[in-house]
This record gives sequence, structure tokens and C-alpha cells, in this order.
Amino acid sequence: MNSIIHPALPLMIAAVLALITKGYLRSVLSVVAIAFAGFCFHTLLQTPHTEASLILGHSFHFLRIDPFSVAFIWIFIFYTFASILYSLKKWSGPLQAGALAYAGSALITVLAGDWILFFIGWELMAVFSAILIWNPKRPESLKALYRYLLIHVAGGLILFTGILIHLKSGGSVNMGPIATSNPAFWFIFIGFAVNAGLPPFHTWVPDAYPESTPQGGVYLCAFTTKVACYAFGRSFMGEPILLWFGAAAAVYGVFYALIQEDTRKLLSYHIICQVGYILCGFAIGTPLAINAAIAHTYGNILFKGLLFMATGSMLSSLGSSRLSELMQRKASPIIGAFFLVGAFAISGMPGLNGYVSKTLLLQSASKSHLEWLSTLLLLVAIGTFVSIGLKLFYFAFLYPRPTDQSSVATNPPQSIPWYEISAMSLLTLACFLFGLRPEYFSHFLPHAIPMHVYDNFHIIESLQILAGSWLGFYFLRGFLKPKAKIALDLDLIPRKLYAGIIEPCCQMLSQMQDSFQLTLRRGIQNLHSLYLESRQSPMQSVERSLLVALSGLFLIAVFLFAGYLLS
Amino acid sequence: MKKSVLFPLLTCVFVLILALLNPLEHPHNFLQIVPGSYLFFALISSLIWILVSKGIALWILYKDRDYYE
Repeated sequence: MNSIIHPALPLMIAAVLALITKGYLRSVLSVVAIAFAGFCFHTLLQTPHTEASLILGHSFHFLRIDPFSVAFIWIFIFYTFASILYSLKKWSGPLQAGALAYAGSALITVLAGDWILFFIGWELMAVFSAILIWNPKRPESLKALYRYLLIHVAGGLILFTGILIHLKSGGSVNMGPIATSNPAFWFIFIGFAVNAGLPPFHTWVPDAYPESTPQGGVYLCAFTTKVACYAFGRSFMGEPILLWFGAAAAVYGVFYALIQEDTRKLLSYHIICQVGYILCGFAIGTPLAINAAIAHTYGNILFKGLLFMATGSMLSSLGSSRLSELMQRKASPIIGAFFLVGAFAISGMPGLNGYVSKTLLLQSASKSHLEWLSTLLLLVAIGTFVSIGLKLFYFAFLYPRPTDQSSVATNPPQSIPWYEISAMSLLTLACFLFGLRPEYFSHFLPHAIPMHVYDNFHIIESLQILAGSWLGFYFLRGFLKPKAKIALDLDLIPRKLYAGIIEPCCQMLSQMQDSFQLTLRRGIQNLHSLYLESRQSPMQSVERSLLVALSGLFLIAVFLFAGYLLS
Repeated sequence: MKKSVLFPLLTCVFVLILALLNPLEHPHNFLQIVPGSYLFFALISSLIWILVSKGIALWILYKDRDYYE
């Protein structure tokens, strides 16, 4: 019998050990765990294994190995290694444990073959990712954490309802496509949309991610939304509705990114935007489009991770992630160089991974006669370059600094540790390798289709896009100068609802509870005095007891009636 | 003319020449028919992105940082 180990197991064990170990030992254990997870997965691909395991009478499909899941698992393992490297020495045990368990639960979710296991992994991700949002240096992060948990619990409940309806209506327990005629369609779609950060369920992304620690942000940007993309690809491949949601997310994300002042908030909106790209690929559903979507998932994890790492290092070094404050301080040129690579990659510069995946997406849209979509994605690419490659880079690194640097003397920038530079170098190398030699990565894609992205026309098309955007930004760069403001988003509605209705209701309930307790206490005291009196005059006590009993009956009737109305 | 405008401007001219020298033989959409049109599309689109997003933000979306507190 061949013994196989689930790749998530080493990460889960390391997560437990991270709580009881310290310093280098914890770091070494984390690195060994992810290396072992990679080894386990490699062995799994070589070894024939049983499809299902019987636990408590239910057949669980722990390991669904097919080209689609394999593509996601490899990039998750690689990125987890880079993230562990980035946060090598800076983290406390609980945060390191949360990060490892978060990565492990992402592997469980992607490899899950049935809906039950998928849901368990999905919820584990929500719980462990919440740990990463907590930032001991920022008290506001706790509020963001509560909001994050609230929306994910709601999303999880909707998904669970969908799964139950699907199973109840005779659907297969194996995770697979959901037809539009299925009564569970919208429940499962919305459940996925919450985690993918699709508008209008996206507000948790720019709310929670910027509040996390620099290391937490690096982990968070890669897993939850990408696992949701995987889920969409698995269950809603080729669905036209996904195309509309994807296109809307791409436009919405880039619009809000352009007006952000906080660098990490800006990048969070770009997560929504890039998720839109990926979902458009899955919605088109042709083999080329699926390859393009997965290539863009790879690209997005690599360049977005690099950008989050660079802004995280900037936050650690200069103490701020706000552009209006960064404009006063001189950022490290090394971070600037890494940031530029990430910014060019996300903008589709030839030679970097974003160029390959975006060109493939545009090709697939054109071949499917969706010219409007390819034009829209070009527009989004222009907005992406303006917001990240030009606005963010210009104001964070190139904007003329004030001559008076007295604040710098009192609060000098901290140096960038070697492990952060190593992690960023690793992702930079991956961005270039994927960009220059896409054929090396074609083995990870589900369909064996040759990638023709490097021809004169496509290279010059991309260069035109970048050069034209640069000139446009040059003329209007004054308009984009960051302001120390927040931009209202759709979370305004629940926040106002909370402040206007829910909070007063809670206060009213609290007052009612207080008065109820007071009444109850008085009632008990009265009963006690009645009892004492009854021992002296029995006739009077009978009348009073009758009155108490009738009042009790009346109260029970009121409660029953209220219950009937509410049901 | 400012020196700093020369960099983006010269890049655009260089890319435009490259585009004119390498037209697509089988164009699919209106942007591919005229060589160099992507450059103008990007220029106009970036201007629109900046003006529209910033305009809407200044008009209705921007609030003070303590707005929710």
C-alpha cells in the first residue's frame, strides 16, 4: 500500500509547533514544513491513490488531483515559501501559526473533492486569515477584523445554504459545475463572490488588508481571493453572468485604485481588479482562456505579492503607507526597484509575467468574438498602469522631497532586512522568468496550447499602451496628487445602517434589558414579601397569588403571539 | 518646453515609428486597423481615467479621515 500525506498536513503541524517554539527554530520549522509540503505534493502526483476516505460513514474526497487543482497548488506552495522567507524573524508565534494554518487550509480547500470538505477548508481559511488581520500596532485593525469576520460568516452561511439546497435537490456531493437552473446557483455564486471580493461584496478587501501587519498583508493578498477564483472556475466555468461580474470588478477596482491615498488600500483595490481579469477568462471558458486565467492567477500572485512586500517594507521602514506622508520621506531605492518591477509586471510590460497573461486573455477574448471585452480590458490595463506604475511610483519614490528633513533626523528610516530583500528578489526573478520564458510555465497550465505572445505587433501594442498612458499622466499628474482623505465606498451603507438603526436598536434593547432586570428583581422581592405575608393572612394571599398567575399567563401569551408573528 | 516632458514625448514618438513600421496583416478590431492608434487610445483613455475618477472623488467620494468615527 502506498502511503500518501496530504500537503496541508506539514503546514498544520508546523502551525501548532509555531505556538511553542521561538526565534530561528520557528523559522526553520516553517521553511522545512513548506518544503515538505511541496515534496508531499510531488509524491502525490507520482503515486496512485484511492479517491475517497471513509470517515464516520461518510466518504470524503480529500485529494482531487487534476490539472486544474494542480496548477493552483504549485503556485500556493511557491508563494507560501516566499512569504515565510519575507516574515522570517519579525513575527510572534500566533501570527506565524495563523499564517501557516491559513496556507494549509487553502491547500485543503483546493484539493477538496466534495462540497463538505470544500466548505470546511473554506471556513478554516476565514478563521485563520482573520488572525492575520489583527495588527498589535494598530487598534483600528480590531474593528476591521470584526467587520471581516461578520461578512465572512454571512458569506459562509450563504454558501452553506447553497450547498444544502444543492444536495437536497439531488445534486452530486462531488464539487463540480452548477447549472443556472439549479436552485442553489445564486446562493453558491454569492458565497464565492464574497470571498473573491466581487462588487458589491468587495468592501472587506480594502477595509481589512491595509490594517494588517506588513507580513500579514503579504499572505492575505494571495489566498482567499484566488481560492475563490478557483471555486468559480470549478463551478461556474463558461457562465455568461461571470463575465459581467468579472468585467465590472475590473473596472470598479481600477477606478477606486486611482483615487486612493493609502498604498496598501490602492493595491487592495487592484486585487479586486485582477480578480475581474481572472474571472473573465473563466467566463469565456475556452482552453486558451482557461490557460490565460490561470496564467494571470500565477502572475497576480507573483506581482501582487511583490508589490505588497515592497509596500510592507516601506511601512516597516518609514512607518507609514500613506502617500501624503511618504511624499515627505525618502524611500529606499532598493524597495523602489522591486516596486517598479511589480508595477511594470501588473501593467503588462513585455518581458514580465503580466504581459504574457494579459496578452493571452486579450487573444482569447478576440478569438471568442468579444471585442468589447478586449477593449474594456485594455482600458483597465491603462488605468492600472496610471494608478500603480505611474501615480504610486511617482509620488512614493520620485516626487521632489522638501528640503527640511528635520522629521527624518528624529525618526530615521529603518534598514531593510536581508530576508525581506531575498523574498522580493525571489518573486522578481519569478516575474522575469515567467515573462521571458513562458514555455517553462506551460507545464503548470491545464491545456497544452502553445503560447504565441512574443511577436512584433503585440510587443509594440503594449509599448504604445504604456507610452500613451505615461504621456497622459505627465499632463495631468497634478490632478492625482494624493490628498489626506478617505474615499467612500459601498461599505457606507452597512456602516450608516449600523449607526442609524442597528446601534440605536442595540441601545434600546440594552435599556429594555436593564429595566426588565429591575422589574424582575422587584417582582422577586414582592413575591418574597407576599410569601411572608401569606404566612400571616392566608385569605389575602390567595387573591394576590391569582393575580400573579394571571399576569404570568398574560406574559406567556404575549411571547407566544410575538413568536407566531416572527415565524 | 520643460525637459521632463521630453522623456514621455520622445518615447511616444519612438513607439509610434515602431508601430508604423509593424502594422498587423489581419486586423480584428478598429484599433488594429490604423497603426499607432493604441498610443492615442492610451493617451486619451488615461486622461479620461484621471479626470473622471478624480472628478467624481472630489465631487462626492472624498471625506475626512475621521468620517466614520
